[in-house]
Amino acid sequence: MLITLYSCNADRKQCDKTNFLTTIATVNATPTKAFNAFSPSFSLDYNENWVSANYCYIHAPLNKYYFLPPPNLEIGKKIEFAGSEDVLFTYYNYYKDKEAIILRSESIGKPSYIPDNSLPVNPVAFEMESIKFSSSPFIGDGRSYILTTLGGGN
Amino acid sequence: MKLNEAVYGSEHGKFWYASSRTEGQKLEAYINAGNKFFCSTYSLETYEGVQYSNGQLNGYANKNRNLYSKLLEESICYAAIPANSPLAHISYLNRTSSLAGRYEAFAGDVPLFLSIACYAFRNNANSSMGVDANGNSFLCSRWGEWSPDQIAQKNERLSSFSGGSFIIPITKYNYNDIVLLVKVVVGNDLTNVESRVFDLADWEENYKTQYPYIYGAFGVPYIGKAGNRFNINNNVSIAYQDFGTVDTETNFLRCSKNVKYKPIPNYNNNDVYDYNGEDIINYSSIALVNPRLNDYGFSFGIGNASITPNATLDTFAATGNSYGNSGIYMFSGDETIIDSYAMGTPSNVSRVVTVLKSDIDIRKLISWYGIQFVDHINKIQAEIGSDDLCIPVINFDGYTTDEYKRGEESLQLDNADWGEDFRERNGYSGEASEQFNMETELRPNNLSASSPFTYQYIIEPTQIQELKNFLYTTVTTDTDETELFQKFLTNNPIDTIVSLCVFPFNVENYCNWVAGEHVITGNVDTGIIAKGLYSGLVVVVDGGEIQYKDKYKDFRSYEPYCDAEIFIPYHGSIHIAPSEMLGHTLGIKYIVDICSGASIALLFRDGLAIDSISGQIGGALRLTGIQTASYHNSVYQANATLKQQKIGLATQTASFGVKALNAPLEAFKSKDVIGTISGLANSAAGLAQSAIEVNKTEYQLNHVQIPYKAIGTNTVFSSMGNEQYCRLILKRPLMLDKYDATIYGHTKGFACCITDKLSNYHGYTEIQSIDLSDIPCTNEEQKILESLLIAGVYL
Repeated sequence: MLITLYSCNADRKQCDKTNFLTTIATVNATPTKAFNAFSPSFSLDYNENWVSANYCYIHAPLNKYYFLPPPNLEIGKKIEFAGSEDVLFTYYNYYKDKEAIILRSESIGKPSYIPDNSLPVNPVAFEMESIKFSSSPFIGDGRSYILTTLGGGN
Repeated sequence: MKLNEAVYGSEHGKFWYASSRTEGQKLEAYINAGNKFFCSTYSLETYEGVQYSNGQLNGYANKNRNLYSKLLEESICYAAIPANSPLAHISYLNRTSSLAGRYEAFAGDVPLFLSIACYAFRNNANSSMGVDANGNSFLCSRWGEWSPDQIAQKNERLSSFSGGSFIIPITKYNYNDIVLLVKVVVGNDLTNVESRVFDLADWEENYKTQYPYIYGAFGVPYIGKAGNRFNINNNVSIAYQDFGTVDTETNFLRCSKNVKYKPIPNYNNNDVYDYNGEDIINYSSIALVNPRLNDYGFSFGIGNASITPNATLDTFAATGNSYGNSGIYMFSGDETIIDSYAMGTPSNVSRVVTVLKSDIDIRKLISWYGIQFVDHINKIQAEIGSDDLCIPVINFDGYTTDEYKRGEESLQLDNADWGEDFRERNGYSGEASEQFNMETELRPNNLSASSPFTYQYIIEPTQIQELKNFLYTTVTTDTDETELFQKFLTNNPIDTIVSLCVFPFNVENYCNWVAGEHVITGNVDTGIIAKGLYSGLVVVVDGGEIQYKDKYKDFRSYEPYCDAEIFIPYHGSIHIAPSEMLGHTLGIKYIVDICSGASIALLFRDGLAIDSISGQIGGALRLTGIQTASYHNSVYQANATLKQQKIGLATQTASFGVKALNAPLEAFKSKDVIGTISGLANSAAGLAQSAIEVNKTEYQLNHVQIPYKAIGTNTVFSSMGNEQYCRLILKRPLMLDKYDATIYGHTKGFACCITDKLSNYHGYTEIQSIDLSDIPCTNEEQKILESLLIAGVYL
C-alpha cells in the first residue's frame, strides 16, 4: 500500500493539519499484521530519513490520516510502524461546515454572558465602583426649618 | 458669575438653565425667579403664565393652553425641558442651539439646550398672517410653498428673533426626510487662513494631503418632501432637495425624534492640537447653527483672521460676504467659540478655533447628531443608495453614539425605519398602551398643612433666634395687665410647639407657601413673621438618575459575580439584581413628610417604582422655653397670698395697738394684771408671726421658680455629613493576577452557547453536540470523532 510519511508539528487536537505537515516521502509499505484500518501496522525498508516520521497518509483505498508513534527499528533492515487513525483530520472536510452547539471557543475573544466557572476569578479581590447619580436635592446651601405649632393658621 | 457664564440643572422635575448677561450678576437672581426658563438672551416663562421681562411665550401660553397636555412628539425638547413647558411643543431647533455645559461638560450627560429666540403663530391653518407673542402681526405667506405637512394646529408658528425677518413654522418632518451632507473646513497650515471647504469624501480623496488640518466639520441639511424621500425599505432612491432650492428663508434643523444627545466625548492630547500646533487638553463642542447666519452677521476666527462662510460654502472668506445654507457646525476647542458662535455675535473675530488632526474620523463626529448623512454632494443630487447613506447608531436608551452603519448593516438599525412616527414600530397607536405606560405616577397629596389644630411655618435661622427670645419672655410685674400678659396666664407657648425640623433641601421649592404669616403659638402671636405652608404636606423630591451600563459585557456584570447596591442618602442602601437593572435608567425619588421629616425613597427602573426604603430626611431640633403661664400663675398666686397676708398683718397690728393702749385700764378693771399682760404678749406673738409669714411670702414671690420645658430630642445629624448623592455601588470580581485572556482562550476557550458552523470559529473549541450521521465513516470512528469534538479541539 502507498503511504506518505510526514513530519507533523500540530497538536493532536488540531483538526486541520494541512499547514502543519512536512512531507518526508511517499513509499510502499507492507502490512505486518492482519490489517486494521483503525490502527494499522506496517513495515518499511530502513531509511534513516523515514525514522523521524510521526504522521502518515495511507492512500486509496483507505484515504486516511494516522498518527505514528516512534517505530521499532531493526538497523539496516526494517522500520515497523503501528499507527492510529486521526479522525479529526481524516473527516475534517465532512464536518467543518456542520452546525453544532458550541460551548467554548477561543474565537469569542473574551468572556461572554455565559457564566464560566473555569475563569480564574479571584475569590478575594474585587473591583469597587461608585457611580454618582445625576443630581441630588441635598447639594448646595438649601436648608429649611419647619416649625409646627398648635393654634396657627387661619 | 462672569459674563455669559451659564449653568443648568434639574430641580423638582424641571429643567432650568441660567446665564448671566451682566458681569457679576448673581446666579441666584435667576434661579430664585421660580418656574421660569432662561435662554441665552431671552427668558421664557412657563405655562403657568408667570410673566417675566422679555418672556416671549406668554402669548403662546395664553393662546394654546389646551395643547399643553399633549406633546407634539417625543423630541429632544422633551428631554431637555419640562413636558408642561410650551417649549416641549416645539419639535425642532430654531436658530441656535448648543450643547451647554461649561461647568459640567465632563461630568456626564448634558441635555441639549434650546435657544429659542422668538416666534409668531399663524392665525389659522390657511392664513398667511400670524401674530407673535406680543400680538404683533406677521406675514406668514411662505408656509404653504414648501411645507410637506399641513399645519397641525393653528397658531403654531415661529418667527425670527428680529421679529419678522423670516418665519419658521412648527411642523413635523419624518426622520428619514432629513439627510446631512458632511463638509469639512480644512486648511494647509495651522495658522494660515487659506482654508477651504470640501465635501468630506472629496477632501479625503483629493485634498487631504494639501489641506491636512481640520478646523471644523458641519452638515448641510437636505430634505426630501413627504412621500418623495429616500425609502430605505423599498430601496427607492430620490434626490434630496437643498433647502436653498425650496425656500432660503425657511431653513431649519430638526432634531431626530426621541433622540437624546450627549456632548461629544473628550478627545485626548493625541487628537487635538491648537493653532500653534501644541497639544492641548480640550474637548469638542457642538454648535447647531441656523443656516441663515448672515442674518446675524456671523463670523468667527481662524488663526488671526475673521472668517465668514460665503454663499456657496466652497470657501470661507473675509467678513462681509453673504452666506447661504449650512447647518451643523462642529468645532472642537474652547467653549468660548461656542458662546460667540451660538449667540451669533460678530465681534469675536480674534477667537481661535482649535484644529482637529486629519486622522479624526469625521463620520464619527457627525454620528453624534443621530441624523443620517452622506459625504458627497453627488450622492444627494443624484440618488442615494443605502451604501452611500450613513445611518448613526442610536442606542436602545435613545442616546446617540459615535457609530454609524451603511449598506446592509444600516438596514438593521431601528432608526432606518423611523418615519412618520417611529413609535409605530413598537406598536404605538397614538394612545398610551399599558406596555408603554409602565411608569409609576406619584401622587403627592395636597393635604393642607393648615388645620384648626396645627400649622407649619418655614422659618429662617434668624427667626429661630427670635423664637427662642420669645419663648424665654416673661412679664414679671403684677402691674402689667397687657393682653400678652393675660394670654400668658392661660397659655404656655412652649407647650403649643409640636416640633422644629431641619431639612437638607429647600422645602420652599416643593410646597405651597405664603409669605408674611405671623407665627402663632397657641393663642399668642409671637410677632415673628415667617412663611406659612398652606398645602403640600407630602412632597416628592427628585434624587437624580443614572444609566446602569455594562462595563465588562460578560457574565461578571451579573449576579452572583457582581454585587450591586444603591446607596441613598438618609435612607441606607438597596440591593439590586444586576440582571434586572442593567441597561436601564435607575432613578430615586424621595417622598417626604415635611411635618415629621420621615421619608420613603423609591427606586425607579425606567420610570417604574420597583423598590423602596424608609428613612428620615428631616431632623428634629430640641426646643426649650419657659412655661410662661405656669410661671405667671405661681407669681400671681404668691402675689395674692402676699396681699392677703399683708392685710391680715395690718389688721393684727391695729388690733395689737388698741390692746396695748387699753391694757392698763383693762388690768385695773379686771384686777388681773398678769392675765392682761399675758394676753398682750400673745397678741404680740401673733403679730410677729404674721410679719414672718409676709416676709416668707415676699421671699417666695421674689423667688418663684421659672419652669422650663424641652420639646423634642436632638436628632443624630451625622447623615447630613455623609454622601449627599445617590450612588450605584458595584463590586465586581477581578481576575487572578496571572490571568492572560489570550492563553486562557487558546487553552480553555471562552464559555458560550452558540449554534453555528464550526468553520466560523477558529482556535480552541468545545462543542456540546453535533450530527455526524452523514459522514462516510464507521460507527466507531464517528463516536471517537464526536467525543474528540466534545472534549475540545483546535479548529
